[in-house]
Formats: sequence, C-alpha cells, structure tokens
Amino acid sequence: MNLRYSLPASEQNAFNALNEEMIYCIPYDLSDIGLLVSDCYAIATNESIVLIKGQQIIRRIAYTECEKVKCEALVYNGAFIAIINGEEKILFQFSMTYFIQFSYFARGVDLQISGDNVVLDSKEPERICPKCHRALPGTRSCIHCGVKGRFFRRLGSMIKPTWKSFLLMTIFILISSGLMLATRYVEREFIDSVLIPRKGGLTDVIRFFVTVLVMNLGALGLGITKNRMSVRLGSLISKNLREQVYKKIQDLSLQFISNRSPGELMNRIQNDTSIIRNFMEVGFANMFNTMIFMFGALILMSIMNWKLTLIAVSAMPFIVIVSIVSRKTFKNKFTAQWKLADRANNQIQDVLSGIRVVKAFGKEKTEVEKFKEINLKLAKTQSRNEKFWSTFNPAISFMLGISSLFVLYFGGVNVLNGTFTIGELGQFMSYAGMLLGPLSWITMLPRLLVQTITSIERIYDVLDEENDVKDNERPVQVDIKGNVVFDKVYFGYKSYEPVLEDISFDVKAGEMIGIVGASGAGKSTLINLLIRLYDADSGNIYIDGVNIKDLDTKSFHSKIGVVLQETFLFSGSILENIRYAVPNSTFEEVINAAKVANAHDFITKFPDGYNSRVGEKGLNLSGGERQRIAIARAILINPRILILDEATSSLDTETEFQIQEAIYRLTSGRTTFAIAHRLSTLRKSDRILVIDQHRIAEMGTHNELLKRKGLYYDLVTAQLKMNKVDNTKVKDIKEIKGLITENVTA
Amino acid sequence: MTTDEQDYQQILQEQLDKVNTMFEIKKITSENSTFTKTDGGFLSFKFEDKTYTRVVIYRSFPFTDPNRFLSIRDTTTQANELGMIDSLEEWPDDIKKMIQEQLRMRYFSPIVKEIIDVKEEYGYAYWSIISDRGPLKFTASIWSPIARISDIRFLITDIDGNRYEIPDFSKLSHKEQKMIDLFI
Repeated sequence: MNLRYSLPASEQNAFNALNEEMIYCIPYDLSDIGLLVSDCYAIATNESIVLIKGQQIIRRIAYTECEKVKCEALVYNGAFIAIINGEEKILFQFSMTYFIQFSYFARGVDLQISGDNVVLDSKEPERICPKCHRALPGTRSCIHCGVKGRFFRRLGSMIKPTWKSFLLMTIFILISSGLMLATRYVEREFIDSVLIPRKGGLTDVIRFFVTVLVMNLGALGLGITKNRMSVRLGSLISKNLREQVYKKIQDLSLQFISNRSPGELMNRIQNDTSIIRNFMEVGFANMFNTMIFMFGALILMSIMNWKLTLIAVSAMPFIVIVSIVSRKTFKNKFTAQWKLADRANNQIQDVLSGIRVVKAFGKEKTEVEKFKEINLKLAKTQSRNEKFWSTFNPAISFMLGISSLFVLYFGGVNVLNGTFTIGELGQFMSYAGMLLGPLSWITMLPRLLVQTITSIERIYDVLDEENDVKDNERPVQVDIKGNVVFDKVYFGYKSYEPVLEDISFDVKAGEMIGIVGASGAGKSTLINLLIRLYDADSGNIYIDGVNIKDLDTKSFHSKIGVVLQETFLFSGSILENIRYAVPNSTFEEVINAAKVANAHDFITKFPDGYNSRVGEKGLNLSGGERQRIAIARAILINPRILILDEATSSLDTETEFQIQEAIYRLTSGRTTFAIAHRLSTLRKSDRILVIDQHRIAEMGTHNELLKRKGLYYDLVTAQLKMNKVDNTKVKDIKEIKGLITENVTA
Repeated sequence: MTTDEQDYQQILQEQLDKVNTMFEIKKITSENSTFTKTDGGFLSFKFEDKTYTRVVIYRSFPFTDPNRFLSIRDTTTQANELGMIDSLEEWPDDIKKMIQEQLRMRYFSPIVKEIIDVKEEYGYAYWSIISDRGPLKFTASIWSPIARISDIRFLITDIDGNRYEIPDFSKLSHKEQKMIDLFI
C-alpha cells in the first residue's frame, strides 16, 4: 500500500515552504465534525507532522513536542492521536480505507521521534487500482490497465512446454473449418448444375453424396482429434500450473502465507487453475474455431454478393445487443433467486444444527413461522422468474432468427430477377448462418476472457512472489551444538505493530530455558524467530556463532525438534507420523523413540499397533496420546535444539506425570526452549525468561527470580493462589508458603 | 486466628470482592459525576472520588438504542467499565452535547440518503450515493454479506471495511430499490 501519496500542485507548494523532507504522506478523509472530505493530507517529515487542509497548512507538530503517536481503532474508523505533555490529543480521523496506512504512519513517526531513521514500507496490496479505480481481486496489478506485454509473456510461458500440440491443433482447426466451408460450395454446385436443370443421373447423385460424406467425415475426424487435443492440452497446462503454485506456496515464507487466508491460497491452487483449464479446453479452441469460421464465411459471402453481405452484417449489432441484454436480465433475476434460496438454506441449516436449543426453549412454532415467510418469498420469486423466462426465451430466439428472414427475402428477390441462382442462395444462407449463429456465444467471450486473465494474474501473483526468508548465497551447513544468541532483535508480524522489542540473550548448549509471560506477550513469536519461520525486522540471531540467515534453512530445520501445543497429526499411520521428519528410520529406532516418549505402551495396545491410522478418518486420540506421539516424533530427530510449547489442558494426573517424564527425558542434554506453564517444568529449567510488554523483563534462575519478588514471583504465587483457593485448607497454605520459602532459601 | 488462617481469610476476601464487582452495575448520573472536555478533544471523568484523564463511551445497543445504556470505560487494555449511563435524554443539555459529540466521533457509519448509481462489473458493485456525511463512492464485492438488522434495515460493508447503513429500504424510491435489489 502506498505510504507516500503525491500532493496536488498548490498543496505541494504550501508544503515546500516548510523546507522539510517528506517521508510519508497519506490523505485523511474525516473532518473534525465527521464529514467526509477530500482535501486533507497528513505528512510526516524528518522533523514534524504536518496537516494540510484546503491547500493550506493547518497544523504542524514538531517531534520535539510529542512523546509518542498512535493510530487508534474506533468503530469502523480510526483516530490519529499524539501524546503531548503526557496528554492524549486527537489530531485527525479517517475511514477504514486508510486505516492500515495510518498504522504504518504512526509506527514510522514513532521511529522518527525516537531518532531511528528507518523508513517503513507496506507490503499489503492495494485494494483499488489507482489508475482506473476498479477493485483489485487479490492481484497486485490491475488487469485492465496492466501491461499488456506481460500478459502475453505469461501466456507464452504457459503454452511453451506444449507448443507442438498447440500448433498441430491450430492446423487441424484451419483444415476442418475449411472443409465445412467447402461442403457448401459442393452443395451449390450440385443444386445448380444437377438438380435444377435436371441434368445428370444416379451417378451424379452418388458422386455428390460420397463427396459430401467424405468431407463431413474428414471434418468430423479432425474435429474429434482437435477436441481431444485441446482437452489434453488444458489438463496438461493446468497440471503444470497447479504443481508450480503448490510448490511455490511450500517454498514461500510464513509471512506470505499469513498475509493471505488459507482458503484464498487453496482457491488459487484449485479454482484459478481450473478456470484456466476450462478456458484452454473449451474457450480457446472454440474461440479460435469460431473466429476462423466467421471470418471465412464473411469473405466468401462478400465474394458472392457484397450487397447481400451488407444486409447480413447490419443484422450483427442487433443480435449482439439482444444477446447481451437478455443475458444480463436473466442473470439479475437468477441471482436474486439464488440469494433467496441461500437464505432459506441457511435458515434450515441453522435451525437443524441448533435443534436442541430450539426444542429446549420451546421455539418450534416461531421457527416454522420464520421459515414459512422466506419460503413464500422464494416460491414467489421462482414462479415469477419461470414465467418470465418461458415468455422471454422463445421471444429472444425469434428475434435472433429474424435476421435470417431478411437475408432470405432480399436473396429471394435476387434469385427471381436472375442475379442469384438457387444453389447460390442456399450456399449464401448457410454462410450467413455460420456468420450470425455464433454471435450470441461470442458476446460471452469478454467475461470469460476477463475471468481467465484474472485467474492467470492471481496465479502469477504467487509464482512471481519473492521469498522473504531467503537463504544466503552460499548457505552454511553446520553441525549444530546448540548455542543460541539473540542480539537486539525487533519483530512484528506487521511492521507497524512490534511484538518483540530489543530481545537479547545468550544461551549455552544444553541449557534449558523456560519462557513465561502473559498470553499474547510474544512467547510463540520468539519461538517462530528461533526456528526461522520469520526473519527479525532488525537485530541478529546466531546459532553456534553463525548468523541464522547464513544457515541452510532446510538442513537447520532437520536438526531441530518441535513439540507444539496443538499436536498436528497428518492423516496416515502412527508409524508415518512418528517418522515424519526422518522417514528412513528403522522400526527399532521408532520403537525406541516411542518408549522414551512413554507412548509405546498405548500404541501397541491398539489393534493395529503402529499401523493404526490417525488423523481425519482415523483413530480419535486423546490429547495426552497425541502429545506423546509428538514427543516421539521429536525424539526421533535427536535434535540439538528442542522447542517445547506446553499444553495447558489438564490431563489426569497419571498422564500428566507420564508426559512430564517424557519431556524431561527429551530435554536432557539438549538446548531447550520451553514455553512453560507447569511449575515443575520451570523448576527444572536452568534459566527463566520473563517476557512482558514486548520485552525481556527478567532473566535468571528460578531462585534468583523468586528472590527478586518481581514479575516472576507474582506469576508463580498468583498461579498457586488461584489453584488453591477453592478448596484451600490451612495445611495447603502452609504448603504453598513452604514451596516459596524453600526455594528462596535453597 | 493464626497467621495462616489470616492469610486464608485474606485470599478468600480478595476473591469474593472480585466476584462482587462482576455483578454490580454502577449507575452514572449527572449528579454523581463530572464530564469535562479536554484540550486533546477527549472526555475526562470524575466519579466516586477518582479522576480519569480520558474515558471512552461505548454504546451497548448502537442500532436499537443508541442513546441508552452507555458504558463508560477507562483506557487500559482491559477497558474496565466504570459505570453506565442509563439514558442520555435525562441529562442536562450541555453535557448531553459533549457526550453525543464523543459518540459521533467514535461511531462512523454513513447513512444512505440517496442512491445515485450502482454499477456491477466482474463481481464488484460500484456505488455512488449521497450520505448524511456527504456524497461518496464505494466499492463492495457482490458476495460480501449484507447485515440485516431488520427486514428493512441493512448494513453494507465495502472492500476497505467501511460500513454504510440503509435505514429503511422500503422508503427508497422504486428506481433506487431496483438498482440495489441485486445485492440485497
């Protein structure tokens, strides 16, 4: 998105008078009394924020005057607020149209205020084309005012692998069209030379019959071949595209994927490629075919009788208009009906899903009444549409056909006064049919083309995307020992909203680090940076002294183990899931890993043992069982660095204990980062990292932090208190206090 | 009572206090509170011996009852409720005006007064209307859900996330109704 709009001339002049350097410039569209305006701009310079309205500077706030700025979300609009002398002052408001841009603006200004000269860049795509103001359907460039050359290049690269078949198909189309046009000529000859003058006998009839039969068979054969070729081509092209897009999505970083919803990405792999395939199979071949047909017919008609041709051609605009109007009318009526049907369906689904609630509150009658209403509306619309369509449709067909009558009339006149033979008239009428017939279909082409071009654009939007998290020129493959250093790391999923600020720490190989903090504080984000799913906005991360950006990502990932809160098991067998990262491991290795994870027992008790299917259509495993399989999966890798995100769900004590044991065995000797929720895990940690307000608030051993009586102390004692109050007895209080004092003195 | 017993009682009391505040709704009236407009354009608030440099006013029923049951909340991240105004109508004019101005600033939802044109192209509808906030144009996807507050009251969301209200569909001219029938 644009963060630097260009000012119109007079505003630019007014700004230039200040002699400051413009860094960001974004228009805002709400006045102070809530009216929509279009002459206001907010500019951030290297020294101040400048507001322009009505071609004049109405306010200037120097950075030295304000401590901080923020972009606050109100209800369907936003406010830009500056904190001056400790007080919040609202500077201006804007609609949702500029919300994201002002979020960046605020962050950018904050950076300037703190003396940091970083200029932010927004990677979000625009929603409207700045040139033609049409909506952009998830593409970065507008297909209507985009570069035409680029489109053809892309088309070219799609077709290139299959160009020979393409060429062949084109030749077939030409030949078969030629044949179809030629049969008419043969017919004319037969009518004029044989039938009318009654010259000739059975042999002539047979000769004519055979000639036309052969030509038709030829055209048929070519037609079938052409169809099969185009279908194969379509499948091939779309298969290539699907593969490319799928692979690209895997390769691209999480940043790209998290900017788009998974549904959208799936759409591009499936929908958009199928639209292109459809076009290749049906649209393209037919389009080409039809064009040649029409063109050929037109030329032949003009050669035969140009006056009559003119009459036929003059009917064309009429047919085009009628087709377009009738299609639009039909679509409008049908869409309205479809939406009503959708509403009725939603209501049915709603009530049936919540039938227990409906019955429990005795609301059956109300629901029936509600449904009756919409059902009636739907029925009325449906019958009205059907009536309309049954009258309309034949009328349209008639109107489309009427043009041929005109040609017939004038042609007939010509035959009667000798300028045309009957055979010629027949031939001409056939050609006229070939010219006018496909017109209706042709009018559908623009929409089909736009749809296809949009799909191509959306697919190349993914294929052209550069991976943010790229491997360096010559990535280093390191045998990881497990030293991890974070050096002044800053990161935000969106660069205007930092999630982690100024994170620095030094972890030695084999240390176990517990990470605590309020939910949403940034613990999972730290993990994401550590395993390089995202790259830090600024600062560096070092693994064994090597910058993480210099490591070969794939090799790095194969040496770290991750056990997350939500265990994702793929649809497959337990064996496949445990072996996921190391597919070549032997059965013995898998069983060993499962034993260490305390999973071997319950797995072998299943009737299918390790071959039991899990995932969507398989066994429903309990939370504890899934966790232990995930641990086995991690153990199998034998990682030097282990990431653990503890589940907070309460399991029965026995499973709890088992999991704790499994985790303990897993962590020994490995550098472990554990987002810890259990006190026992924290107590086993060598050091603890407390994250608060995007920063490291405290770091030290369990005892050191308790002694400090800071955040960690509060977190621990609060948890204890909350757990114990409901059935607290005095004895328990002693126990709690004892736990604390014991640690402090130990 | 031993010190352990005291600790127990203290913890219990803290929890009970929390529970009590959960159930209570504090009534704010023009008599027991003071609202003042700040230089920064916000409202400061004095209530029960506490002063808040800025409070935010939330409508509980923005559509059905925009001036009743206003929740006054602080500016912490939890946005704790400090109390509720039952009905704004009963308040003196000058304070009523201040509060309504704050509400107008916070809630932005242009009301469609007149529909000039709606054009559909390739899956998007391009609207041109005159609203109570001035003339404007917006783009909405034809598949974006229209919120139906009632049978005749609709909310349309455009591609940027702005929302527009049609207060009474039946009051629109027949021509206007036909224009937007497709999207409703």
